[in-house]
Amino acid sequence: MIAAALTAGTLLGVVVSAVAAGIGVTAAFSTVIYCADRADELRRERRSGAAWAMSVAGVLALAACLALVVYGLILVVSKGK
Amino acid sequence: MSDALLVVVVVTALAFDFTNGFHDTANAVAASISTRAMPPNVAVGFSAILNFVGAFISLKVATTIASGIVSAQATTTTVVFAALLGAIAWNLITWRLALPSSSSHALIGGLVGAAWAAEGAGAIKASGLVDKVIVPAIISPVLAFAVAWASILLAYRVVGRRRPGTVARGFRLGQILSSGLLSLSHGTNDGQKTMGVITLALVAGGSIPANNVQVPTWVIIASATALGLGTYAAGWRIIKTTGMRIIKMDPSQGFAAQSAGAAAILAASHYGFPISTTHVINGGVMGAGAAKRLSAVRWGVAGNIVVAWMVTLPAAAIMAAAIWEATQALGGGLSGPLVLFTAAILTVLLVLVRRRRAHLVPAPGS
Repeated sequence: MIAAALTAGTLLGVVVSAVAAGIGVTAAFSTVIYCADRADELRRERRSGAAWAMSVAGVLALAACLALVVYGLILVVSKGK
Repeated sequence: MSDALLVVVVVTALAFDFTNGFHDTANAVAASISTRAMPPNVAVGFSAILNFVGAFISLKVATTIASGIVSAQATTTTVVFAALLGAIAWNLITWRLALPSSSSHALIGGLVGAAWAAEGAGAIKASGLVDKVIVPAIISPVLAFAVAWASILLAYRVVGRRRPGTVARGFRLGQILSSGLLSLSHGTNDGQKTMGVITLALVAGGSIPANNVQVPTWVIIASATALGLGTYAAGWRIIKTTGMRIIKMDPSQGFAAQSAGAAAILAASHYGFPISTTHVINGGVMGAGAAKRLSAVRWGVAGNIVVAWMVTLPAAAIMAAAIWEATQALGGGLSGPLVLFTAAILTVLLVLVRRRRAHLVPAPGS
């Protein structure tokens, strides 16, 4: 609990960042699951082009999700600097 | 300050760190255990390792916990001892009642109470208390509640029509990541508290020069180890409350609650806004449950938790003040803390022996 002076700007920053990161990571991860499941379904329907496109979308969503997690890790690590 | 008193304070600080670990294990693992993302022992071991690692990451310690809340002159070794013992007592009481309360607030409450008893009300900086404890305590659970609530609604919208088995497996995998992030940030935040307290005691004792405060390596290792071992010991009662008694959680709710919690903690850390991991995780769990339907949350349990949050600071303060008065009644200096320290150890041993007997002796009629 390392504290800075409490200002409206700090409060707004915390709220906006937490909302964006929390909802962002859940949206990205839900998209990964959706794309993985839908790609599997399309493969079984032998629509390989659409399945491939869905897999690429899933990978991009996973990359976005991992980027947010890595950014979180950087924040944790940079606190010690 | 005598070396013996320094040893008493260091051991008490490590004992607090241990209770902090087992009290807060639930924050990182309760949702993962509840949704079967990880087996209980694996989840606890994983969290213990990351808490241990997290404690090494940050060394921003020296001014930490009491800064801006209690005047520096009032923070004597005996005050710190009384604060730690008061916080340990409150952690054990809330653990016994299976209530997830904030260890940070217990320690701050302890410092406030002991400093008040030692130096009077003038030792307390009311504006610091409002800015650094009361406002964050109101905002953080509400923020986590709102983020988890919005997140789970979005998740249901995206994956609502997909195969339930695939969705559950996916979110369970995601929970391993979010749980790991929570454990790491908890180790980073909470490891510092004990390091700060021990470092302050070493400065007061003259072991470290006040003009060049460096945290000794043994303090970092000892604090990280106590926190990791405490996490591994696991407060199962609180894990049950957070993971199973507030809501019946599915993997997507567990993921949303943990992600909301991690996001709030990291955002707060980034802006230097002091929040309690316990408050955000439990707020997130309530939000994830309420989004499904309001009646999914056991509001009686949630209400008890909120009452515990409100009571933590004054209760720890009262206990620490009583402990400080007792140290003075017992002669102050080394003798008071030493007698109370010995009494605390004997009490813990007595409780452990009674618990062991209760396990070994069969109940009548069984």
